[in-house]
Amino acid sequence: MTKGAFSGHDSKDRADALRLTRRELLALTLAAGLLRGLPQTASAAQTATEPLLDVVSNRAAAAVLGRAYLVAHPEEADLARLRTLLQERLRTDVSDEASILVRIERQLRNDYIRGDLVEVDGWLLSLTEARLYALAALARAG
Amino acid sequence: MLIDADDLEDGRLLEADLAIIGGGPAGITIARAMAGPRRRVCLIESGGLSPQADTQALYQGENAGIAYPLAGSRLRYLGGTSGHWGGFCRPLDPIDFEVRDWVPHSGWPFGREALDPYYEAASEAVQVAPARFEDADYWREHTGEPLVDFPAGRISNRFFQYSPPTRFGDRYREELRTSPDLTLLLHANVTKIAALPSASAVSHLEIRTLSGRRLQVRAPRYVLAAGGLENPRILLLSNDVMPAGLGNENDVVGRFFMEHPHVSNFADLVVADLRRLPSIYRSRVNVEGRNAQVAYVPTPEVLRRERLLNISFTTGVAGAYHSGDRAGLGPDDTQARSRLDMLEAARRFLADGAGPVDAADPTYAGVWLGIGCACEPVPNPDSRVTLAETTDALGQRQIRLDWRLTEQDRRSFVAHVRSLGRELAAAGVGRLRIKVADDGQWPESVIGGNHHMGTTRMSDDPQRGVVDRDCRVHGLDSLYVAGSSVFPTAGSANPTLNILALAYRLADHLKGLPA
Ligand SMILES: Cc1cc2nc3c(=O)[nH]c(=O)nc-3n(C[C@H](O)[C@H](O)[C@H](O)COP(=O)(O)OP(=O)(O)OC[C@H]3O[C@@H](n4cnc5c(N)ncnc54)[C@H](O)[C@@H]3O)c2cc1C
Repeated sequence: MTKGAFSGHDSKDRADALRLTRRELLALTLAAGLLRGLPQTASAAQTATEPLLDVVSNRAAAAVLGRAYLVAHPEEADLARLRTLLQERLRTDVSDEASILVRIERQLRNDYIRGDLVEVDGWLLSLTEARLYALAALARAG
Repeated sequence: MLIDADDLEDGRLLEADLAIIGGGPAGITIARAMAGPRRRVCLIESGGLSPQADTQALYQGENAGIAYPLAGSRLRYLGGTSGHWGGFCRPLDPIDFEVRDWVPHSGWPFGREALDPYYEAASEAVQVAPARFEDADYWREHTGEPLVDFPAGRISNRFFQYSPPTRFGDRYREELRTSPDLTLLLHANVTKIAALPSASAVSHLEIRTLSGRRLQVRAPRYVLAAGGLENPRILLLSNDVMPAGLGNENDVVGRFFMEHPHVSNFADLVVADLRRLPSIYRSRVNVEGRNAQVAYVPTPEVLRRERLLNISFTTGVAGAYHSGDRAGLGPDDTQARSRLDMLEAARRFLADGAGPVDAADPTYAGVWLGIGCACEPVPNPDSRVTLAETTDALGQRQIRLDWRLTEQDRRSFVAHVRSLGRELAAAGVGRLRIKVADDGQWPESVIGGNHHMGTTRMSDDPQRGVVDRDCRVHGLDSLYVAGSSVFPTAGSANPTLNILALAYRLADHLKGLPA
């Protein structure tokens, strides 16, 4: 093999690269809308994200934006990873339904104030918000 | 007294204490402020009381830079371009007057405080007084609605006040006609400002009519107020004694032409609950008989910290969405679909409670708003007015405009669009979608605002400016310039209110001079 993307000598590099490729594939599939309409499965990860998604009024609409986000950030096309990323940003237990809306609203505001932003299909979004929509996309995809 | 130049005998010499070239807002304002006992004013206007095609054609010229409507952006009859101005009024911001190390050639010889005493009179002249351009409490109280508190400290609320719009020719014609100390000379084109052989002062003005009459006007003092493109042209054409043109020893006349770049369709804003964006942000509201609307203006702190140019934004509702609209959207309605998606995805963040935003209209999703902008450009010596080889009906060389914008201008615009989006989202008002690529090119929709600035710029240093802080042409005792051609920087405010404030200030200065 010539020296290139997979020329690393340990197998971990290669595994990471492959995982990335799988995520990329998933993101692209999501973007193409191929998984839309699949019945939602009540996986453990998904059940745990329900309170988070409760703040998203229209999950189908959010999923459209979420898919666009995942195309640009395929490494995040993983339900468990996204949930962790969101939990870290929100610094709260994301299964605590009572406080979640307040917490998210505060975080979005902070993101916008600090400039922690991403552009998703032109929309200027807080990083937390974009990940929330990505979560909606993944959850819908089941 | 009103005189048609064509009614005077050929070769006639008129004398006054002050001669003003140009009967637009600047010239009329100085004439009104100056005419009085022991101050006979002669106001010399190229046109008549209404537009005429042959006179208007004297404004034609050629473009060498960004395409620009040289004749369409000006009117040549009594009242000047106020015959079709839009009436947007706002003072320049204090930071616009400062020397900013990130803005080349920036800095006025004085601060905003030098103009502050004149904004009230200027507001009266355009029928918007009292001046409440920065008085948020006034508009909050009088509209009965809160103002948006922008939490990131990037945007502040400023207020446009709208002139009816005042047509200066119509509004002040009778006053000019009946003033015993004023002669309004119509159909009189100043073709040359003749200087004394020493070039230290003006000797007289040469005037021609389109029918071929030649006249002269002599006065101890002269004010050139023919508009931001014609002021440099007349100076450049006045080259008998000074070959480069009057006031042009240092090759500054005509340089630094500035316009406010206006871009359309560069971003959309969606808002679910209009209570979060009170009416004064979306349309003109009428308070005590006057119309006003919010101008979103960056805070000076942001401009300094991020080394940006100034800008102002306005927003206006363009359409409403209901959840059912989705079914009727075709495959090409991508923008509408995207706006609806955004409104419905972010619904909980953009409106209170989980129920419908509008109980009477449960499927209502929100509105989208168009955004307007006027950007400050960097003063650029290569953006300039020179004389073309082509001539007009009077045999005078036309202007050649080379309007240029810089990458610094564009980058600043892009940064401010993002900044506006951040603030509106942080305040929970809405979400903004950027529709222009940040690719080093101005969007094709970029045009000017019909604001002609900078071509006889003001500076205490004759090497860097054409006029001094009193609007007097460097090196010439008796010639002054009025209008936006003296602005050394353009800010983002529309020029006319500021032209008038400067005109009143100039009138005060002239009144203080020995007779
Ligand atoms: C469509 C449009 C909309 C606008 N909207 C706004 C707005 O909303 N807000 C704002 O602030 N500004 C606006 N402006 C700009 C505004 O009209 C000008 O800032 C203002 O008219 C400038 O006044 P002035 O007296 O300096 O020049 P002008 O209004 O151009 O007047 C110059 C006068 O000089 C006369 N003249 C020219 N050459 C000669 C000569 N050789 N001899 C004798 N007389 C001469 C002309 O006939 C004219 O009467 C707008 C302009 C346009 C075109």
